[in-house]
Amino acid sequence: MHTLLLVIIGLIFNVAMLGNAVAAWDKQSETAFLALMCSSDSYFLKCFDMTREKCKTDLNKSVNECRDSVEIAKFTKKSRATGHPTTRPLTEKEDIDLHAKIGLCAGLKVEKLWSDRKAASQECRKRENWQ
Amino acid sequence: MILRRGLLSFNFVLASMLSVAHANSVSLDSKNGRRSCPTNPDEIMGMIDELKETFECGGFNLKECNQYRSGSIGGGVAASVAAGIGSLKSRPRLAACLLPGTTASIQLPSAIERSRYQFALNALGFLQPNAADAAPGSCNLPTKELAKEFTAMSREHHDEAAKIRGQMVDAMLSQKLTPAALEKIEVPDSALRAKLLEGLDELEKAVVADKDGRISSPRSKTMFLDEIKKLKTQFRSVGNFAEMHSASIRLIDNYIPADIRGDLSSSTLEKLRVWNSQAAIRAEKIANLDDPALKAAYKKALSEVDVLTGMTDWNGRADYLKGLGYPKNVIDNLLEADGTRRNISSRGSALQMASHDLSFGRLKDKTVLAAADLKDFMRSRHINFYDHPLLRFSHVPGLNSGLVKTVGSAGRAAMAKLSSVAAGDLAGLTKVGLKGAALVGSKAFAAVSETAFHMGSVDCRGGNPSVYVTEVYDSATERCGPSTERNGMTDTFLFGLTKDEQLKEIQQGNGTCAMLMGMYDRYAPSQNWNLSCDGEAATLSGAGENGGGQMVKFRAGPSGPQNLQWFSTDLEACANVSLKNGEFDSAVAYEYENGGACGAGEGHRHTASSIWNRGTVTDEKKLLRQFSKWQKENSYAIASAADCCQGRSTSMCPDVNRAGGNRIRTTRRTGTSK
Repeated sequence: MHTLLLVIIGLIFNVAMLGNAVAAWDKQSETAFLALMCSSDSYFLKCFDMTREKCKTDLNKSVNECRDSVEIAKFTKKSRATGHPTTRPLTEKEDIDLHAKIGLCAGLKVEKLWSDRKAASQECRKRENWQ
Repeated sequence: MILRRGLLSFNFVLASMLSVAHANSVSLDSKNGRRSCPTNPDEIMGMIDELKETFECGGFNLKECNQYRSGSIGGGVAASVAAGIGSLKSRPRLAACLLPGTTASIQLPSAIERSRYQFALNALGFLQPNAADAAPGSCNLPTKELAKEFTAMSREHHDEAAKIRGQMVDAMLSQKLTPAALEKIEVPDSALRAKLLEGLDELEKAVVADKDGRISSPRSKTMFLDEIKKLKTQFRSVGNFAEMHSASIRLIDNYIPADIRGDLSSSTLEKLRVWNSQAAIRAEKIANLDDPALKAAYKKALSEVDVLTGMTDWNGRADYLKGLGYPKNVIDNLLEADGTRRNISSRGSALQMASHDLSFGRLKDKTVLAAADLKDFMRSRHINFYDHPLLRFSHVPGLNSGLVKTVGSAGRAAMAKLSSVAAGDLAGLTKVGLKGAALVGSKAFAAVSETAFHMGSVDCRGGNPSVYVTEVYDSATERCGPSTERNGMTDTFLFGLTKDEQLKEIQQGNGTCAMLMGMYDRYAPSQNWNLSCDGEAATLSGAGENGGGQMVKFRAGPSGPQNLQWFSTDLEACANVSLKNGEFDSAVAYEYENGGACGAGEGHRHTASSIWNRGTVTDEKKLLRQFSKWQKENSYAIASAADCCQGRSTSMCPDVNRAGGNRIRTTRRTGTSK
C-alpha cells in the first residue's frame, strides 16, 4: 500500500516537474543563435569561406549534438520513485550558463569542422579581435 | 608494435624534471590530511589569488574553461552570443524586440517582477541607435513599467554612489584620525540589527494588515511573512553589516517592488535599507560628539570630499589631494573610487531623465513604446550602456569584451548581470580595497549564493547553502567529505567574498581550508606545473590533473607551440606531434632511445582518428591517446607556457626555470615549499 502510494506521489511529482521544466535551449534560442552567428558581419561568415545557409545547417547540427550532451547531463535526474528522468526548472543563472556551454561547444565544433576554410588574415586569427 | 621499455637516461631526465616540480609544491594532500591549514594570511591569499586566476572562467568547468581560454575563436564567440540570448530570454517582451527571428510580442508581465534590473538594463541597451533601428514592428515596451524601473534604478545608482562617497570619507578619516577616535563614530552591528528588526516588525504589521492585496498578493503573502519571520530570527542576536545588507536587499527585491513602496511608510523602508540606517546612526553620533577635534576632523573630511567630488578639472584632483597631504597610494585609491562613483552617478542621472521622459515628458500618454518611439527616445537622451548583450552580438572589437569578461568570471558574472552596478565598477571597487559592501551586500551576491549550491548524486548530510564547503560523495574513498572540486559555492567563495571574509571562512575551521587546499593542489599552476624555458625551447612537465610522469617539449614561437614532443614515463615512449588549430592532428611515435631527443629509430605515424580505432590497442596508441586526452584538458597549459616563456604573460605561469640558472617566480604566492 505504502509502495503504491509512493509511486503515485512520485508520478504526480514527476509530471509536475516536467510541467515546470524549462526548455532551456528552445526554438527561440536556436533561431536567434543561428541568425546572429551566421549574419553577414559575424565571425563565422567573415572568417570562413562559407555560405549563410551552410553556416546555419552546420551550426544547427552542432547545436543539436551539443545540446544533448550538455543539457541532459546537468539538469536531468532520475526520479527515485519512478526511475524516470525528470528535468527541473532552471534558475536564470543556470539558463545563461547552459546557453554559454552549448554555444561554446557548438562554436568549437564548427570551427573545427571548417578549419580548412578559414581565412588566413590576421584579423581572423587574432582572438582579441573578436572578444 | 610493442615499445621497448627501460631506458634509464630518459627516466633520469624526466624524473629530475618532475622532482623539481615536486620540490616546489606544497604538500597539500588534503585527502590524506597530511598538512594543516596555513595560518599566514598572505599565504592563504596567495593561494586564493592563484586559483582565481586559474578559474577566471565561471559558468564553465575547468575543461570547458580551457577550451574557452585557449580554444578556437569560434567557441568563445558562440559562447558569448549564446549567453546573451540566454540572458534575454527570461525577459520575453524584450526578447520579442531583441532576438532575431521572434515575430510576436509575448505577454508575460511576470518578467518584470522576476528581474527588474535586467529588464530595465536590457531596455536601456535596447535604446542604442543600432538596436532601435533593428527593432521589429511587433516590439512594444510597456511605458509605465519601464518608467518605474528607471526610477528605482536611478535611486539605487545614486544610493550606490553615495555609499562610495561614504567610503571615501572613511578612507580620508582613517588617514587623519587615530583608531580610538575612529571607534567613536563607528556604528556597531548591534545598533544596525536593532534598526533592521524594528523595520521588519513594522513591515510584518503592514503586511498582516493589508487586506486588499496592495502590499502583497494573497498568493505570496504567506511566503512574504515567512521570509520576514526568518530574518527576524536570523538577526535577533547575530549578523554583521554585510549579512544584513544582503538579506534586506534580497527581501526588498523579492517582495517590495517599486510600485508598492509608496504603500509602506518611508521610515520603515529606511530601516530596512541597512546602508541608510548606518549613515543615519553615524550622523547622529557625530552630531552628539563631545570631542570638538573629532567633530572638526569629520567635518573637514566631508568638505574635502565635497571639493573633490565636485571638481571638474579631472587632472587637478590628484594635486588637490596631494596638497592635503595624503600619501600616493591613498590618492590613487581615492581617485579610482571617485571615478567609479562619478560613473555610477551619471548613469543614475541618465536613468532619472529617462524616467522623466516616460512619466512626464511627451511620451507620458503612450501606453507602450513602439520601435519609432524608442528611436526618438533614445536619440533625445543619448542613453549609453555598453554592458548589454545586444551590443556584443555585433562583435565589434573592443565592445564585445564586456560579455566575455562576464561569461568568464564566476561570481562576478551573476553580479554583473543582476546588479545595477556594472562589472567594471565592481572590479574597480575591489581593486581600490573599499569595504566591499557593494559586492557582498549586493543582491547579486545573494543570488549567487542561492543558486550556486548543489549536491552530488549521493546524499551527504543534506546541504547548507550558507556554507562554502559542500559535502560530496567521494567514490574513491566511498565516503562523504568536503569537496575539493570546483563548484558554484567554491566559486562564490573565491570570487564573491572580500579578503576579510575569505580569511574568516578559512579560520572558522569548517572545512573551507581543506576545500581550498584540495583545489590548490589539484589546479594551481604553481603546484602542478614545472616549466623550463631556454630561449624559445619550452619544457613543461607535471601539468594537469594527470600530469605526473609526462612531459611536453615544444618551441614557443610567436604563432603558438611548434615542434611539439610528448614524453611518457609510463610507456617509455615519445612522439613528435602535429597540432592543427591547437588540437592533436597526427604524430610519429618512437621508442625512447636516447637521453634528450625524440626521433631516433623507427617511427610510426598515427592520426587523431586512427589512435581511437577499434582493434589491438598498442602502446603507441596508448601513448597518443594519453597525449590526446591530456592535450584536450590542458591546452591552456601549453598556450600559457608559450606565453610565459616568451615573457608575454605572467598570468598562470608556474615557476619558470630559465636557462642560465635564474629561477623566476611569476606567481604571487610566496614562501612555502615542501
